[in-house]
Amino acid sequence: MRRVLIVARREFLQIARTRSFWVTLLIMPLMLVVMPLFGKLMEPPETSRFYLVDATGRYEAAIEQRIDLNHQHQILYDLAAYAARWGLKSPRPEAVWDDGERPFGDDEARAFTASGGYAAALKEAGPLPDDAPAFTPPAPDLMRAKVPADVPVDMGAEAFGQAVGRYLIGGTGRPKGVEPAAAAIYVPADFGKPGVAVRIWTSGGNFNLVDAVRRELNNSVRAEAATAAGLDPATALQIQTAAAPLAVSAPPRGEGRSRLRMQSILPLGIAYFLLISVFTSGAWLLQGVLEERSNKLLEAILACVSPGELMYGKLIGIVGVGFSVIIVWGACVLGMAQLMPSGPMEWVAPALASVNSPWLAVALLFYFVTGYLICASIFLTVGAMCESITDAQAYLSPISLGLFLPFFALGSLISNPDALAAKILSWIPVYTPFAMMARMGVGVEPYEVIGTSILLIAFVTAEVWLLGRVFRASLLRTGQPPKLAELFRLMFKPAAS
Amino acid sequence: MAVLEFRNVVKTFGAFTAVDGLSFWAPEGKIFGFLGANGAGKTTSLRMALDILKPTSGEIEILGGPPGREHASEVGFLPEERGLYRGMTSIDVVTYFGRLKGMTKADAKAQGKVLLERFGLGDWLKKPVQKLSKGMAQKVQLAAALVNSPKLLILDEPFSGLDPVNQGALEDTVLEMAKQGSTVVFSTHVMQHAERLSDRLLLLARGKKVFDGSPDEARRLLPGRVMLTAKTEPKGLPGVAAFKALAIRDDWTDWEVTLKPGAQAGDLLQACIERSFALRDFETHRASLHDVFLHLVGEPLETAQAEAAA
Repeated sequence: MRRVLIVARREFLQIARTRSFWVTLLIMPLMLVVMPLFGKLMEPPETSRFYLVDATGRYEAAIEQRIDLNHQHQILYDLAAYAARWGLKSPRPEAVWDDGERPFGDDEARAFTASGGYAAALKEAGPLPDDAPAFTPPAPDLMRAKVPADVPVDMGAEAFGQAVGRYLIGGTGRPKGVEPAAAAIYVPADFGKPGVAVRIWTSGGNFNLVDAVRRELNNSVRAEAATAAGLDPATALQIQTAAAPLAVSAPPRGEGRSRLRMQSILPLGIAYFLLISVFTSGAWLLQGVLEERSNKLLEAILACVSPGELMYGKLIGIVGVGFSVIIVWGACVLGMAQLMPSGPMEWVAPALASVNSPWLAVALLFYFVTGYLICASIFLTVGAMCESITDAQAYLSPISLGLFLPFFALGSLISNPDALAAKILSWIPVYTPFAMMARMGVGVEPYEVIGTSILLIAFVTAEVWLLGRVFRASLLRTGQPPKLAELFRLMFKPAAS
Repeated sequence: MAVLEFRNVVKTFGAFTAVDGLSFWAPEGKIFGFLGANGAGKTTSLRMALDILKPTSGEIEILGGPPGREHASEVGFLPEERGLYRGMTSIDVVTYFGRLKGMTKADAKAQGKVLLERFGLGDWLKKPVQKLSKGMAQKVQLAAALVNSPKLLILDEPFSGLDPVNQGALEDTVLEMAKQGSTVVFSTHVMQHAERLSDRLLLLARGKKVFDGSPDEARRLLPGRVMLTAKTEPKGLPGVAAFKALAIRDDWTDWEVTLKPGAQAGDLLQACIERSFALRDFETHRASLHDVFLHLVGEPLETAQAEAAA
């Protein structure tokens, strides 16, 4: 065992001396700093401008009110999340902003606005906790802009559309200094007649605007139809605004839906990390063995340690590298979470708190180590069989493709952890660590954890044993790497040397 | 006492027999040379002694036990194909091998420093191997083999790739190790090294032993030769088996005389004097190992070498 640990230590230090190790180590802190900045740069403008021309004069106000109400919905939703996060409460029982994050109805949004909006709500909530940042209401999604003077508003939809095109995002020939608009809406004067449509020109997207326009126009058209059918306007309006009572409740953040989501982040993150770091470390491991082979070092080493000790030492060393990287990355994430408690790292604390069962932590650790061993043994054996990285590529391409399969499946594993495909993947030992870690966050049956673990232990033992035979037989071999048939012969026939 | 002993050892690789029924023993405190062409089975034999390869049949005993890494603390090994971790420093490489051989880190480092300084690498201890010249790297490799002050030092073709100066330095190291009581087993295909260093020799050809004994015993396998210059032919002189004239100058003829088995050149000289056999020159020719190899294998070592390479 002593010699195994000496080999492991050297392997670890050799990798720790490489530039690529430090690049890998620093990539996470760098990403934590760069990604939010990059995200900011990539964000679309918060508020989209739009032009609205209502040649009838009947719908303009309703559309604007709907857009404003949508904005109030957004403020209420954000305020509810903020209140849940910082434990704010209203003294008024009828106030809904302290109900937690949930969908709110139009009536609730209107009542919230009528009672003074977020400013009044914060006032009645009393003093904020010391470490709570000030609440910033979201900017409105949409803002009506004044139609440019050279765009005709009274010559019909076609003329309006042709003229307004250059003022939209992506349009050409816009005068300098004029901000482009995301959309333009034209309600023709004869709207209401059969076949006459409201025209909307957009730069793409703007679903909120299209939805608001459609909703309000539908309401108005229906109200007019009801009135035309003989209902008095008050009754028509009553019918129009009638809504089925709907009580939507959501558990507070950290204890229900949110928590399920939070729990899932950590194991999924580790599964992704496992895949990335296994391939990075595998490359280091491969280079290490290739160096020993190409530099004719192996014979001198094998006079001191057995091939088995060499293999186990290398595996332990590489698992150590994996752990050290995950520890550094984890420390960076925690550090960032401490520095920015209300920033994008807000999910970290609940995600870690979700690992509240020691068994969950043990299972994560177990799957991490076995996942590492499965892949590292493969890389190690490929290194032992090949003389150069070019030789190794012939093996690595199909192996990488096979191992990368869970990468494509992780997303669907988490969205539907009980799907048959997810379960099947969990019982294929090569993929078990990745699939189980990804699924564990949203819950798996204990029998699956126990069963897959037993299968995994058997598989890893057999794999290390069989690949160990190939490793031993290949170390001092010269010439072409073995073909597939010979590979199996090396695995299953007694060692000749 | 035998430090290394092979008893009827056979090693095959598929249909190819690399070592065929090899038996020999290397005495303690002596320098034991493996002599043979490439492909004669020298490296395979040494690898079996170190447990890097398992024999197909037969028995091997090293330092009183079967081959295994438990002997690593008492064995030093310099393989034919030598290499080092290019990114590690010289002292770290030697320390690493010392630790693999069971030394503590402190002892391995201290002894490594002593050896590297002795080899003239005192200023290069903390330099990465990739910055060393080939000759320097070879000294680091030798230091890694010697760091544990081995009882048994196994050197596989140690002189290959060395310039004459370093070959001389290595010969001195080998002699010094033997003087200090270590047993040195080395393989070579260069007759001169075997001749200069070996207390005992093993001659291998195509995996089989053709001779095992001291260099003098090897030479005695061949009849003695004498070159003499005389006026008359050496016919009838005691111990003379055959003779042939090589050159005639004035009245004198150079003769190459082959002695009968067991006959000594000194006895022939004495007989010449007693019989007043006129001599102008008398030179004893000791058989070289090259002659012995030719005699035993039926072809010179160089030919065997070329055949192996082909």
